[in-house]
Amino acid sequence: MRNRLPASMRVVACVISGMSLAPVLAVAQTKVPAAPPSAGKPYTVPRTPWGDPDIQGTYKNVSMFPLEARAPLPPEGAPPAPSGSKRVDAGAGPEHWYEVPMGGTTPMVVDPPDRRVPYQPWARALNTEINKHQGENPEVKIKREYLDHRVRCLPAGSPRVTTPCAYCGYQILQGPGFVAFFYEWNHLYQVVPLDGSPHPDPGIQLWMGDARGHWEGNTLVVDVANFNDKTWVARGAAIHTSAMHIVERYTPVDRNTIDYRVTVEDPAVFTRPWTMAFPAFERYPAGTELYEYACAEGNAIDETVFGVTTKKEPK
Amino acid sequence: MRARFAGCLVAAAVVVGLLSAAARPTAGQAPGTPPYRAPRTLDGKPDLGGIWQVLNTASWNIQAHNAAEGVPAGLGVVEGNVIPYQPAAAAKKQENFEKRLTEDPLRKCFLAGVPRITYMPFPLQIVQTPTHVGIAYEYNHASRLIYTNGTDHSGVDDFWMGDSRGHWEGETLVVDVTGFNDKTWFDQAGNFHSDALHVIERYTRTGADIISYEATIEDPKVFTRPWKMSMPLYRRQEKNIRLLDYVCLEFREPHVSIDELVKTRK
Repeated sequence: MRNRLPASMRVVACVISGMSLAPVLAVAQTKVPAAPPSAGKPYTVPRTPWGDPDIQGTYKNVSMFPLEARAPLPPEGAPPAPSGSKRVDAGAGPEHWYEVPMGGTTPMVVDPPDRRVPYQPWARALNTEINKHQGENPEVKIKREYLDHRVRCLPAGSPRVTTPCAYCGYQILQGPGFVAFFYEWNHLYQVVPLDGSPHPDPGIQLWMGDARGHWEGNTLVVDVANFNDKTWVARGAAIHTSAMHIVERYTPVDRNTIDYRVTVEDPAVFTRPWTMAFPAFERYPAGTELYEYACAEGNAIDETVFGVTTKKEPK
Repeated sequence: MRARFAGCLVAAAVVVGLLSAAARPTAGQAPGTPPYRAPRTLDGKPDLGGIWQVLNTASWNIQAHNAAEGVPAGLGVVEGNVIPYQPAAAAKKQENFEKRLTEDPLRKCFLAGVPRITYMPFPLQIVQTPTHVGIAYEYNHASRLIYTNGTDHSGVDDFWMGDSRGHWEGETLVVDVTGFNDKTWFDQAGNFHSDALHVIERYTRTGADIISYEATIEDPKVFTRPWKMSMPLYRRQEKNIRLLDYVCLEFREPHVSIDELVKTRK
């Protein structure tokens, strides 16, 4: 019934996920990416009593996907690298994050057509530099401010909280006027009002951004602004400023799967708006519940990354 | 007969103490006035949805206390103002108090636990469905899912925020919370519990903009009897209210400011 790992393993996982993704994912992920929705009869999305499409439930990731192509790729739809390889090869630089044991090699970036994040050159250079500081290259003395904010137990931010990760479950609740996302990872949440209300003053900065949504047919469209400049768009250090603006689209494609598409704008960092798309949520078996993910409470990065012995838990 | 009656009284007192909330009229309500009936959700339950916040000093000290530097005075939220510690536990509480500026789990940015998270001086947002009551807390981006789908406790016994199962008793959401670890405190004054903590929360709308919140605390390893705290949660009235951020670690961890980098490039 509750087929998840005990809470104590979560704490370990939080640390490990920054250092070496592979062993964690071997436990957390057991499925290859869902095939595109069958071309057969269209899925009839159930409705809530007040008439919204009903996407409530408990979900997990479909698969891991790399952020972008390692080198320019043919456009979306063209066959990517062969599947079944256990690991994409390692190496310093951004690529080392793509050591993904399962699912895939299909990048999340679908636009621009070369499947690469359209960084301005300085941002690409900084991104590459930051990626050298993620703990896999013993030659590099890690700068703490470069280390993945997620490994430091800071909020994942949006849209990163929706990109696949280890121990990421999702509980979606709906009521008249809202869709609420409760994320297992680090007990984050996003309560999305559907009342047409505006974003707060642009000076307000939020780790998860300010999300306002509406339904377009069966698709939940969420406009998110008011970010800070401390998160990454996705694993792999897609840096951005506080001026980032994203539009997310959640589309249920069958009873068990929600596709996700997000367009990212930040003219200070990117040369153009760009888009990620992937099957994001796969429904858990009935009765599955999220576990508590305590992160800071058991984080051992000081020991494992910086060699500093600390005793964090009070006794 | 008489002796037997006295014995019953002791037992009855405990029961009444635990159950009296439902029967007791709301503070300030004239005797004989029917109790407040909350607006209903579509499935007919009292609607607790909205953004709420305490207006008290319980996060510093749940008992009556005078002001100290940075600490506002407060009348306390513990019924009778007595926390019935066992002797060894009372000594431990005193030790916690003396070391509170370093040993309070919140000083380490840890989860606040239940019920402490409720009376942090930050807003919380309740979202309610027939099967779940989700609570999002501004403080540290904490959250809880309270299952109202008739399921029993998970059996996991190492949660910072506990395992919450709720049901409705008339106007009241009753939440049974177990499965705690022994690492959270009730307040900054060092009031504490063991891993045998059992919390029963009661959320009752007593007006358009008020929830009466009660938490009964049981912990046979630390206390000699159950005890209770109670306080109102007030609806935040600002038209544009939303939860903002207080991410404790944000102020301890260094960051690269991309905003600054962009500015200095120009």
